[in-house]
Amino acid sequence: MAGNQTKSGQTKSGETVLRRVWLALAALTLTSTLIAETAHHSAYSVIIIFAIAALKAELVLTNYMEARKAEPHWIWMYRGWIVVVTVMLIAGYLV
Amino acid sequence: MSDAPPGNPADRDPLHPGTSGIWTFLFIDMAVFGLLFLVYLSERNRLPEVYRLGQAQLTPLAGLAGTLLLLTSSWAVASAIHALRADQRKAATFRLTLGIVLGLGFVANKLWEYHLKIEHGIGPLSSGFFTFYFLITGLHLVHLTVGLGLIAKCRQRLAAEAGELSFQKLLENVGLFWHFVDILWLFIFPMLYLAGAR
Repeated sequence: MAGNQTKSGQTKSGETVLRRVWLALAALTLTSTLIAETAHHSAYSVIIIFAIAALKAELVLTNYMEARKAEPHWIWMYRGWIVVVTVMLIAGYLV
Repeated sequence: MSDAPPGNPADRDPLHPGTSGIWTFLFIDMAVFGLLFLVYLSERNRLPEVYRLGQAQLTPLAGLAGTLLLLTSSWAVASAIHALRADQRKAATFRLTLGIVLGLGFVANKLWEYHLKIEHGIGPLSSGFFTFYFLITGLHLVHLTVGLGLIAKCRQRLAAEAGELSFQKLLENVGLFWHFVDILWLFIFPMLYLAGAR
């Protein structure tokens, strides 16, 4: 009984986090679209748009994929991919 | 000599998300997409005006709608896994159904976009940009369709197999695949639709 209550409590707080992360992801998506649609192509807009993509990927990785609970090397491998791809995209659009 | 079955202990740990194999598989798949992005950037730098004009012919609102559908579907699947761990089978089934419906919404949105392009005489061979557009979004769509099939299979088996560690691991693996498809789109969307289109 107590175990079930604890499990249920953990689920509720976990689900609150998931909902907040979804809200943040949706807000960041709207922000980057708005920047792309209103700002002229500039180094700043490119950097902000891809930095937002990287932040969103990090939120999905840590909260939806629960990478912190996986074997420790994976979170660094996946974060490495996010950083490399973000830097590559920013450089590719600015060169 | 131990009687324990061979393999990674993480694969039998209920607190470890998914199995070690799925983390390896997804990383390799991500690396392949990373290389695809690199070739796209290299070609874009060779013919910037062709790519800028191609990007300007896309509809950012369609990309935005797809992103929101996929993010919400990802939330539904993550939430279904939480419900399964708490043995809330009805909630888990409902959330998986929601994840599937939203994923189908993404497929419909993408097919509508393809239809509009083809109607305007634009195909994969129209320009270098559209070759990449159809190739990258098409490969992503194939991954997404596979993911939808896997979620539907898990939803079908949930009532009978919830409570078994092997099923929890299966659903976590499918969920990880689904979130990986989401992460790929989080980069494809700004790369093709947003940055440098103006």
